[in-house]
Formats: sequence, C-alpha cells, structure tokens
Amino acid sequence: MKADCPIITIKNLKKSYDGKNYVLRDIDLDIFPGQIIGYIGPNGAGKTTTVKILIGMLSDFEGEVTVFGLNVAQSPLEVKQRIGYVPETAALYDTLTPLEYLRFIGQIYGISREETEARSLKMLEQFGLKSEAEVRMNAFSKGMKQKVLIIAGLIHDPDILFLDEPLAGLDANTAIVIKEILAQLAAEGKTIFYCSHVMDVVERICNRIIIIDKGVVIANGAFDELQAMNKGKSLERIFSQLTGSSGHAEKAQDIISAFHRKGAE
Amino acid sequence: MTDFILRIIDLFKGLFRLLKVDYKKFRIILWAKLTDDNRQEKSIVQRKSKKQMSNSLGWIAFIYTFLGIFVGLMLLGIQDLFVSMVFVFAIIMVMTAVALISDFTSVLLDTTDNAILLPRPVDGRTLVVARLAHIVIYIMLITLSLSAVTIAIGTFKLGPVFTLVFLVTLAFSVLFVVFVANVFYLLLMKISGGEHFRDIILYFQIFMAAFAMGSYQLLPRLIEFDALKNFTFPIRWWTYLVPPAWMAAPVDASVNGDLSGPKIALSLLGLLVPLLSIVVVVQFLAPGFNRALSRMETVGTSGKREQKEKRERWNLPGFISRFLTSNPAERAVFQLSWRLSSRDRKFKLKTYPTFGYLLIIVLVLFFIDEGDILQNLQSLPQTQKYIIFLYIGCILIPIVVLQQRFSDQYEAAWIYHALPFIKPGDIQKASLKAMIIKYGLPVFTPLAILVLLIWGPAVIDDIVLAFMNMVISSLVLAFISKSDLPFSRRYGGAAESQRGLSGFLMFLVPVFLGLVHFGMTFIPYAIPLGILITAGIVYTGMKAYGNIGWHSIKV
Repeated sequence: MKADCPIITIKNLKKSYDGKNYVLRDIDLDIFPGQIIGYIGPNGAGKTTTVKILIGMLSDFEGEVTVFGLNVAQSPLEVKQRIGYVPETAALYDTLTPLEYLRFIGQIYGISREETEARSLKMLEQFGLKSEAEVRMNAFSKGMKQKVLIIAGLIHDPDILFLDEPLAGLDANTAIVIKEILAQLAAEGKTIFYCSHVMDVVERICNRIIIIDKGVVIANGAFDELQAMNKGKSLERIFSQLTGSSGHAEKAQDIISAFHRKGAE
Repeated sequence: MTDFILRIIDLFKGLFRLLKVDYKKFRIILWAKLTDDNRQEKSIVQRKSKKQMSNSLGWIAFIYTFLGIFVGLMLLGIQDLFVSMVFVFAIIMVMTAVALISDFTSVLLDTTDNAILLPRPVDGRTLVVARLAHIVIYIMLITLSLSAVTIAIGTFKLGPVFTLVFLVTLAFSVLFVVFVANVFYLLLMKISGGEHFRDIILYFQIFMAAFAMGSYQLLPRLIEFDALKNFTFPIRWWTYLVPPAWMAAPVDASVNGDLSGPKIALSLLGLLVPLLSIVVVVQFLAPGFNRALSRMETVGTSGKREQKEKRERWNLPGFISRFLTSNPAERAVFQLSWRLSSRDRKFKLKTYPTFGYLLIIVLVLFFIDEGDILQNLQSLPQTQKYIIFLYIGCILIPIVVLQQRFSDQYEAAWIYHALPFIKPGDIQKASLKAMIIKYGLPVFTPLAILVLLIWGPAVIDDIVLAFMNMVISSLVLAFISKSDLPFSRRYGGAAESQRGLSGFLMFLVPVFLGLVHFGMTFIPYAIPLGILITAGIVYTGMKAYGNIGWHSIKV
C-alpha cells in the first residue's frame, strides 16, 4: 500500500449500543501507513469503541470503515489477519504457559508451530521472560502478562498495530523498549494506533494526535500543529483546554475541602 | 484427557467441515478452552471441595457415574423395555438439561475469551461451534457417566445391539438438550430484557438445587414401585410429544424387533428432531444468543444503576445496625457484610439453596410418618417435633457464617488491614451479627410462628432457648473460622476445601444443642434456666469474639 494512500478510512462513523445514545457521532478519519496515531480522550469518550470497530470486534455500526481498502464489516477476517491488537486488560488464558499461549495464537494466524516457537522464544528472551516460557501465567504479575500480550500482538508481523494502554504495569526499561519498537515499526512503514491516557508518552512517540470527546473528534494533527492552534505548551494543557476541563486548581481545592476535618482550614 | 477428547472429535472432522467450520482453528480453540478448564484450580462445575486435583473432568465423571446407579436400576426394576427406556431417557435428559443450566451457565455466559478471540481471524461460525462443542463435551461426559451403569446392565441383560443403539440415541438426546437449553436461555433473555437475566438464572439454580433435594426425599415416598414394575406405556397421540419416548423407541425397536408403525415413527422423530435442532442452533440460535449476550452486558450496567438508586432510599441495614452495634466501625462493617452477602452471586448460590432445602425438610417432616397427612397434622401438638422445626434454622445459619468468609472479590479485603481497626474482632462481630439478623431471623421467625400456631404459647420459652442456641451455634462456627475476615478468602481455595472440622461441627453443634434442649423438656424449670445460661454464654461469647486480635488473623 502506497504511503499516500490511507490504510484506514473512516467515514461518518456512528455507533450506539442502545439505539438512543450515540457513543460515536460522525467520525471521519484517514490514517496513513507509517503513522503513529495517538488516540486520546477522556473516560467514556469512545476510544475503545472506535478500536473495537477498527479491529472487527464490533460490526453493527453506521458509516463506512475500510482497513487496507477492505470494508471491515464485510471482510473482518481478512482485516484481522493483518492487524495486531494489544488490549488494555490482561485478556489471556492464564493457566497456559506463555509458550503454549503464543503457539495457540500463532496457529490461529496460520503460522507453523516451529516458526511460532522460534519467534516466541526470541521475543520472550528479549522481554526477559525466557526462563518463564514454560511456567503457567496465573502466577505472573500484570507487567509480565502485558509483555506476553504485546508479543501475541506482534507475533504474526501485523501491518497495523492497535495498542490500548500498552505500557500499563510495565517497568521503566521495558516501557522504553516498547516505545523504541513502535518507532522502529513505524519507520518500516507499519501503522500504530495508540490509545492512552499518559499524555507525555503520546506527545513523545506519536507523530499524529487525535483527540476525541463525547464521540466526536475535536482535534487532529501533529503535536506542533495542535500547539500552534491551541496556544498550549504541553499536550496535557491542550487536552484540558479542548475537553473543557479547566479550573483544575479550584477542583483540587474543592476535593481537599470535602475531606478536611472541620476547623482544620 | 484433553488429547483423548480431541482425538475423538477428530473422527468427526468431515462433519465439522460440512458445517463450514475452519477445523484447524476450531481444534486449537477447543484445546485452549479445555486446557484452561482442566488447569483451573476450581473445577468448571461448582464443586465444593478440591485438593489440588488437576483433572476436574475425572471428578465430574465420578459424581455422575454414582448418580447413574439409580438410573441403571430402572432397567432392572421395570419389565417393559420401552417403559424403562422412557424413564431412563427422561431422567438423563432432565438431569443433563439441569446440569447445563445450573452448572454450565457460567461457561455459556462466559465472554471473557471474546477479548482473546474476537480480534483474531476466526470466523463467527467456527467460534460459535467451538463454544458449543466445549459445552457439549461436558454434557456428553455427564450423560455418559450417568448412563454408564445403564449401559453395563443393558449390555449384560440385552446384548451389544442395545449398547450400540443406546449410545447413538444418547448422543442425539444430548443434541436435543443443547437445543432446548438454547431456547430456554433466549426466551429468558427476551423475558428479562437482559437486565435481570443473571438473577433469574441464579434463582433457577437455587430452585433446581432445592427441587433435586426435594425429589430425592419425596419421590421414593410417592412412587409405588410395585405398580411401576409391570407398567406398560400405550402409545397415544401425545406420546409423540414426549422426547424421551422418541429416544426409547429405537432402543426397544432394535432389541425387541418391534418394527410397528408407531415405534418407527417415534424413532424417526428421535433421529430427525435432534439433527434439525442442532442445525437450528448453529445457524440461528447461537449467533442470536451471542448477540443477546453482548447486548445484555451493555444494558445490564444501566439496569444495575437504577436498582442501586431504589435501594438507597430505604437503608434497612443502616437502621438495624444502629441498635446492634456499639461503634461506627462496627456499624460500617455490619452494613457492608449485609450488602455484600445480598449482591455476591456465588454467596447466594452457595447459601440460598439451603433455604430451599428448609422448605423441603419441613414438608418431609409432615410426610415422614405413614398414614393420613391430616391425621399426622392433628396429632402434631402431642409430639415434641417442634424441637426439630426450631433447630432446622440452627443448622442453616452456621452454613451462612462459614460461607461469609468467601468472595470473588476477596482481594478487596485489604481494606480491613489498611483502615484503623484496633482489633479485627470488631469486624468479625459486626459481620456475624449481620448474618444472624439477615439470614438467621428470617428463617427462624416463620418456623417459630409455625411452632407457636401448632403447639401454642406453652412453647414460647423453647423458642427463646432455640434462638439462643442458634446464636451459640453460629458463635462456635465463627470461633473456629476466626482467622478469616469476612469476604476475604477465595472461592475454591485452600480455605474452602479444607473445611474439615468446621464442616463437621456445622451440623454437629446444632444437633447436639437440639438434643440437650429435647432432654431439658423432661426436667421441670430446665428451659427457663437454660435460657439464662445460654444468654450468659451468648453475651460472654460475643464479647470474646469481639476481642479477637490481629495476631489471630491469617493474611
């Protein structure tokens, strides 16, 4: 796919779970190969719903979504074959060992057992989990499970990688490695769709930032473009400005006064 | 075991491919699900105790094989093969359906692996069939175990033709049961609008548990086995509406060579209806089921919010706690335990059936003597059966006391350690009081009223003494489990499996106290004296229980 052709196209995307309230309203986006998209928004803004639609987990939506030029509602399998997804929660069969789990995932993608094992062992080693490769994951920490999820998201060499808070629970060194991996994958032409609440990470690693609030895209551009448009210094400030969340100091004061003992003021 | 099952399934590879299932992916998904089940510390079936048993399938098979002895006896006890087979299939199909709905609901409703599987390139049909196969494997295991004795007796008595035909019909009956269960769930989802679906299922499970206990107690008293021995089953129009008759017909037809029109028609129904039903399940019901399930999850949240608002208006535990607790911390725990026990599904599942049993036991007490029920009722005031009525409640409350240690959200109990409680006794005492008031009183009060109505005011002192003994029974159990804070232990963990002494005392203490009470009824003034003594024990016991220190608590 050419770099100037969008790899993901979203047109008039709407989604309602109950037929009355819309969690996504008229989203229009074009995403290009090699971009690292930072997809941010307040809680309940519609980030996860967007991702679930893009990866083919939700099919009953209004509008048109194409990934690799394929209509995601009509050809979800072809899309899924070429994307990777790292969920926010540690959704894995944790009674399996990492190697068993990765073999399982590899087989689903149609990769041979030998190839899956070779790739898995190499990545497990890099993530410092080689000695735990055959230990059941139910004793793993959140960070260790997260590493396995990241490996599972990468094992089939996807063209687009969707990540939902991938750094949650990871130690600082592993987080640096992940950020480096994302940068290198983007340099190879892969697309990264990165959902997070950690603004400084998004600010540093993403070359395009999309802010969504109440199901509507309210900002879309490179960080310096957003800075220029909103006269803000950090992404955190811009985010607060755009999502209408201001007066943080006053809010903090109100909260403190709510739990302060009487007479302590 | 998993490999063995998968190899058997491999035999039907062609059939799955015919259903347009991606067999390779189907197999690996099934492998993951079965391996995960088998390695779960807690078995797939809500088993009560388990000592690091890695093979849960073996345990299920054992339980149902044991139950199957009673099914097999039908074949020996009833002369007519068709009649005996109708009974055998009726029991097997009902028990399988009940197991499917009561024990496998969590598997059917489990959407946790959606997050693993839905983002992967697996088509919906393969996913649905994998989920169904996962359930059918367990159901097959249950049916095979249930019929193991029947197969053994039948093979010995009627030869290998029986075995072969019986096994095939058994498989068809399972397919039909899966269909019925799917219809049941879809209907329930429609009726409940999704919001209260899980609650309805819970009450169904509770009802079935009580029903099973009741049938066990009452059926042998109601069925006249002598009449059943030579019973024949004439085929009428409605026989064609009885699924066990469809399954019984081919067995009878093949073993006895009865190729009459009605038997062939019934056999055809037994063959075609399950096949058709499974196509309906795979093509129409299962996808609808999955859709309804995901809809239910979204709608469910808003439903719960409304429920919460309604409840907050009338703060019953808050009101009661004002009279029964001595400090704010105790009051807070009283209310917390009250609410958690009402909202924790597993707690309800493990304790509420006991209240159903209670009703059955009370009924059994009326039926237990031979002769006319009315006469039995009239002669009740001359007996001292009120002791039994009163102490039924005493048996139930310790079960609740033991159960309140467990929760699915056991990790949330860190809060007790983080908050400034001087002694954990405050926490435990408050929780114990909440359990006695919330579960003990509602059981004891109707029983006491019943006793009062039948035996009159002369037994008021007995009622008071029984109540004191109920509190003492709860205290004994509470002391035995004093190292656990409320809702702080994991279900299926060591604490639940190693009940040992507490499980034994749970029944022994109330029975012992009941016997002492019974003995005291023969001694003048013993009951009032007993009330004074037990009141003293309750007071001292509660005080000591409230003084348990942090050193006694297991972290």
